[in-house]
Amino acid sequence: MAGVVPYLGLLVKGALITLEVSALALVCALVIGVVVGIVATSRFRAAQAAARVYVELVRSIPLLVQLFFAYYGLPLMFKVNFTPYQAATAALALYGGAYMVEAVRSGIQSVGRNQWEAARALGIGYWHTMTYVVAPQAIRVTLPAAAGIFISLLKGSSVASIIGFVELLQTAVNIRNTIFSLSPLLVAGILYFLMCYGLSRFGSRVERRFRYGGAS
Amino acid sequence: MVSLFDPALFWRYRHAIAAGAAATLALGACSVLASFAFGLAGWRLKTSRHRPFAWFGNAYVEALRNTPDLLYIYGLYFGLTGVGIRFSAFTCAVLALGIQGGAYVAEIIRGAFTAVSNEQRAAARALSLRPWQSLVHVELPQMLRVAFPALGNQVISTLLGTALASVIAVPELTYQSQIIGDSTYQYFSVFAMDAVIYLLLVQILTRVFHLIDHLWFGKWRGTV
Repeated sequence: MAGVVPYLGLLVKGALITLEVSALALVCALVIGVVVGIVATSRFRAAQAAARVYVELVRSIPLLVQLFFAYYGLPLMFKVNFTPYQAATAALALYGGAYMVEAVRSGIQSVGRNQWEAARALGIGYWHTMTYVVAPQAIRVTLPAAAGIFISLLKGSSVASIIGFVELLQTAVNIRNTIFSLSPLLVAGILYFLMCYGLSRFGSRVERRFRYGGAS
Repeated sequence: MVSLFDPALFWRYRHAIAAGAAATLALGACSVLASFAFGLAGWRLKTSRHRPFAWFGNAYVEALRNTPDLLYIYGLYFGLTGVGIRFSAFTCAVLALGIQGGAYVAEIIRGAFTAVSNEQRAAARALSLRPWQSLVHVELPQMLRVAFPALGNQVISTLLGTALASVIAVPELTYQSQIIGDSTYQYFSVFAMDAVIYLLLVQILTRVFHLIDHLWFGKWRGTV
């Protein structure tokens, strides 16, 4: 157990890398989620179907296979080269994006039809209605869900260790292979827990604060 | 020569692919059963009247839901051999996925029981049903209706999680794909096929769950 002490700094560094990649992927996922989410709630059937296909594809294929596809499949086919960092970020962004689309969609749909009609009656256009009427209310639903997606990304980024991306879990496994003790994995577990649990507490606080009729 | 799509490749490796798909299904089924067992145990602990048990149940659910499943696959695989227990990679994967999935299953069961209103319980008591009769005839049917869709999603995410077992060389679908990819360099075709098989499995399962949900609970839709 004491053998892990000299490596604690490395593990914390690994945690920061995990946090960095997940945060980067989250920002990309937010952009994807908002754009595709708005498309998914639009009236264009073809666009709706395309958004649906994207979400279903990502949710029906293991993250590991998506990562393998990005890291091994695409470079051979299209003569592009990704570093593990880029492949991991891209795959996680697309993965989180699909869940974010659902979060944004359910946020938009949580705002009643009659509000759209009221805005329409006041002569407010689509984009102004979206920005000033729907978005501020949709965020009550979307933001707590986004915290949950960030947690999935933090946990999901551990899968990227399999394509040789040295983040928290891979750091722990490397240290284990040096000192032959499970303690680095235990420390990694504690670090994951601190990050994810903190986020989930934050998420439920946001949710409580945004509840209709609650103190705000 | 790397081509976009090579059907001959799949024909040549059809036995490995079929074996991989079968192993994925077997691993998925065992892991789902294990996760239900752990989930029931976790739920019993969590809702126990004895403080230490309840605390332990809560700790189990919170700890497992906030850490990645790959950690447990590695942890069990390295850890058990470290203390001299020799489990196969398959057993390790089933245990890891079962323990992880169990935390979610425990939450689903607990959540579904809170959806059954206390009036129902009180009414069952007033009709002098015994606690177990109330559970079997009143609470369970209502609770299952709430839990079923969530449990279905959980089954699917456990099935997708089995891909991670490839890191400890369980010869399931993703592992077989990697091997075929390594020996032919047709990674694009191989992982595309891999993805399609998972997609088919998940879509079929989703449809089956919807059908069961419809047949079983359809007539109660829109009631309490």
